[in-house]
Amino acid sequence: MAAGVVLLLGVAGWFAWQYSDEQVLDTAIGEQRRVTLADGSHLDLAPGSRVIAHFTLENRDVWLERGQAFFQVAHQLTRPFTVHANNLTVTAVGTEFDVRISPDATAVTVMEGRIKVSPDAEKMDQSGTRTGIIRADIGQRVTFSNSAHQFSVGTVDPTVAGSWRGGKLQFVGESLEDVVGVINRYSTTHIVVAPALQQTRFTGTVSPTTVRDWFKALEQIYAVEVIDQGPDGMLIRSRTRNGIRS
Amino acid sequence: MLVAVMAWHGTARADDIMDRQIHFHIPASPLPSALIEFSTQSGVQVAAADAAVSNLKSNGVNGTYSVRAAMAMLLQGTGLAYSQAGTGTVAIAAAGPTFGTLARMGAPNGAGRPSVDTSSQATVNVTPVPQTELPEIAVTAARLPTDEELAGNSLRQFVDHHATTHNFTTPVDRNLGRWRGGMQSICPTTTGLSANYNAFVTSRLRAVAQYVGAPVQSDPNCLDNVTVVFTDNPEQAMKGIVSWAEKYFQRNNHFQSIKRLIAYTSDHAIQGWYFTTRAGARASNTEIALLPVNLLPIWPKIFPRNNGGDTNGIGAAVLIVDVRKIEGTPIGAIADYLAVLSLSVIQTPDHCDPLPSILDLVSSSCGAREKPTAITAGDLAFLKALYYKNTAWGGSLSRADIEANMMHQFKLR
Repeated sequence: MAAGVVLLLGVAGWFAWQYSDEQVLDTAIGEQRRVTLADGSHLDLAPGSRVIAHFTLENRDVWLERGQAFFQVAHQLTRPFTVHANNLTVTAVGTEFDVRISPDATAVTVMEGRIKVSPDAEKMDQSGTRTGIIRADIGQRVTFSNSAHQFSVGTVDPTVAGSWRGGKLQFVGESLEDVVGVINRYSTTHIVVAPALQQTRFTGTVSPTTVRDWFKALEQIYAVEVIDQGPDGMLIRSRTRNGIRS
Repeated sequence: MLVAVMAWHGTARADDIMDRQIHFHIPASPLPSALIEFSTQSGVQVAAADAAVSNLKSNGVNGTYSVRAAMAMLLQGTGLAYSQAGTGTVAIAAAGPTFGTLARMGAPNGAGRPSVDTSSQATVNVTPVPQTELPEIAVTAARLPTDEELAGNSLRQFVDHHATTHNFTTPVDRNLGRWRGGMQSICPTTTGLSANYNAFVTSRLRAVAQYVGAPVQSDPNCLDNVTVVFTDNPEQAMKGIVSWAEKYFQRNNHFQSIKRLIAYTSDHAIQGWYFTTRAGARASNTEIALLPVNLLPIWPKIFPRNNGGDTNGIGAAVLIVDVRKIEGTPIGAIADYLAVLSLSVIQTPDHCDPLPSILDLVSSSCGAREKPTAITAGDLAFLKALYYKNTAWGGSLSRADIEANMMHQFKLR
């Protein structure tokens, strides 16, 4: 009996193997790649990112393990394209969207068409958070905060959100934590934001090659100082006044 | 050798990316999008605190301009200014105060406009409080004074210290300085803090003025005549306005004594000047730019001798807050202090009267007595009394009137 089950599973596994395809893609710091997947979908992988694509007859699954990726999904009505990122599952049929993993949040931005975002059921049940499905249209960004275990939906300029693909880093009202998370994938100078400043919002553009000038600018727009900590990288922290750090 | 080095610098500047001529096509749009577009078209890296730009609009730029000119056009009317951080990066932050009303006074002899040097004036944080925790703007009646606080000549002392100057051509306790209404109604503005704090302080000044019945300009975009500047370098910040004032008052018969008034001393947390006018209330439909003005510093207390007759109407005020000296003080208390200072001509507010006042906040004389955290019942009663009497056609306001009115207010409650 037991042998029969093993045999059956073995056959099913062999069958699935014949019709499945797994691809692992990695990018180094500062490296960006454009890849065509087995189903004809296109993927732009941002620097410092990693995806695993696993396609079967019924499903197209992609795991974004770190970093950021832009997906241009080939239309296949009966074979959904699903991206798993952190605690989120993003399902699309034929559309364009961007997924970004930051230290505290996972953000999905729709550039074209429509997507469905749902929390990863297993992980959500553990945390006791109510599960739900969120639909997002073009120009919408669904963000899931890891610490707050909450979804938020906002409107963004899709051109700005996708600007990294053309080598430009543009931000409108993004947290310093997220901005630095992106820059760190482009530059070998590791940047750290002091906890008190992580939710400070930034608007502007950053060129990873002139990040030192960006530090100078930060010191002019916020009451912050940027400290060179040698091997520990650059620290952005509040400026002290009379020894008290605000 | 020196000449050669300078010439080399000259060439380097001509190559400055900011001087490059570029054809810009940036449509009128929300400022954040306009800035991103500007960055794309010019190749210049742009950095801004989102709080400073998020609610603003830009008229855009169309045509061929230098990067520098396009940047200025993009920020026109937003109250923001840019500074260069490295060769290809601009930082966008709140511009220094424009001294709306004072700037219109111009300079009869080439003094230019009053200005504040903002080069050292990065965004300054007071006590860090999330926006949602900013105190209420609404003014609520404060605790009534106790009999002990009102005992003896306590009220007279309080009034003396809250209405320091008076018209020298009349008996010494009459014609106290105040906003006279019409074009000389209060219009505050605040710079130097983050946008929400600036807005809070400005709103608080307006709210207190309204509450006590002082004339307030209804248009929130009015030409400011009370300019509150938060800075960590008051002397540097004031250089531009000191040199303007020196030239402005140069031809005044009493220039030598005025020069002493202008001499800026930086040992106090909150300093500033009042620009007072004369010609009675009939001048209230005239801009102060067209009237003779007198200048009274908050510190030190100097009576403008032989200069009488022009101190009973407040035309404008500049209040400078040294943020290094108010570290840890709640923003609500600072705003209330500034509100009292902006509504009456008060010199040398360094007392500690039996009747508590928000002026005790940074007073050196209060010792261990508990500091007030908001405008007090005494302050509110004083200001209500100051603005109670209609002195538009003759009549004047005396300290005795105010004292009686205050006592009446306390009894009613």
